[in-house]
Amino acid sequence: MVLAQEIILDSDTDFVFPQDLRDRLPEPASQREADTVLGSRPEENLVIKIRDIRNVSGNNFLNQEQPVLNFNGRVLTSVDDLVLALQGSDANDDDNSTGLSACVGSINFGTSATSPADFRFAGIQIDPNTLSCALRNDGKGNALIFQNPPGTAPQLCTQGIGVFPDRLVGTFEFTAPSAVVTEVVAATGALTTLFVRATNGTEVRIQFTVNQTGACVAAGGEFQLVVSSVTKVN
Amino acid sequence: MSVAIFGYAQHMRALSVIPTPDALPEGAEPVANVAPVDPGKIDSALGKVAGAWNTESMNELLTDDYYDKSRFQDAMQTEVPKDARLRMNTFGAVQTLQQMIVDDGGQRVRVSTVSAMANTQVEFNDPKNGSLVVPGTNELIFEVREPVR
Repeated sequence: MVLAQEIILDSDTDFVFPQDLRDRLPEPASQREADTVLGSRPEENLVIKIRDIRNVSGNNFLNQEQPVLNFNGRVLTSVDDLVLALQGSDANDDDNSTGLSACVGSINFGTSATSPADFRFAGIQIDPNTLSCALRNDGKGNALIFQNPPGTAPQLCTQGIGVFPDRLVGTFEFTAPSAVVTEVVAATGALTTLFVRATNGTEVRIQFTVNQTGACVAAGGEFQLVVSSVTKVN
Repeated sequence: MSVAIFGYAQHMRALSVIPTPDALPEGAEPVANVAPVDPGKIDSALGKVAGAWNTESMNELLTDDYYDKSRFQDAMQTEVPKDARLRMNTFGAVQTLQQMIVDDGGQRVRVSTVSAMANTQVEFNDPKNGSLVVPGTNELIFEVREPVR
């Protein structure tokens, strides 16, 4: 059997690497002097700078937004949140941060159809199961009702803001470390922190400030609730 | 009698890209052998970082291309308590990732990229919560520049 002659269709003569890359390939070691750091005291000529940082856990001291108030990759809004994070109570659990954070904001006090006309209200409504949250100003709020004048005698507009869970609904009640009292009277302009516990065991920490936006008159004062944080603590 | 039958056929050879090293920056030379950076130099650098943190000197310890460097500088001024201090606890896993020779104004400089793991803690006093210690573990990427012959 005679084998056919091999016919070369073409030959490949191209270089594997392009010229500019070949120029950067190292010469054989024997043809190069070893690189030697200059100077009798090389440390004087040494420059070391940080180019990047990757957080593994805990605090990132070079975080561009909050070099201190950050933990485990999350930027925190307050030292209290940082304390909770350090204690292991994640201040921003993935399963609740979106819902409760809906109450971080402000709302002007409003009136209630079932209360005297000079009374003003704001409220925080929390679903203890889904942790959805909403601010309201109609005299209701299962987690907290903010009322002016407070329920404490002599019930003057200038007394501050009475704060209490809606006990007609009975879903939430004050819990430690807050004192379990009938009503907390909060001063206007003061940052206040209260803890409430739902009947299903969910505990929430609420930080707020009530600002007076209008003078106290016979028809009642004008107020604004500013909620700075609502976080599940248990 | 047997007859050999041949068919001439062409086929497209698939283009198989041969992996090549990442291109060095313009003007940079590769090193023949990577000389690992002495971990003692990284230890010294971390000590400088701890001392310079929360001071103006910290800016000099970040490269110009550190991500959002100006924002970090602003945050140090506005967000960090004045009494906050950084403490370096331990470090390890020092690795020289890349090395090259560049020309810096006529001087050949060996530029090394080095990674190291550092355990740190930020300490500060809060009026409400008292003295706080905030630990952290981070991988730091250093740029080390040494003039060479």
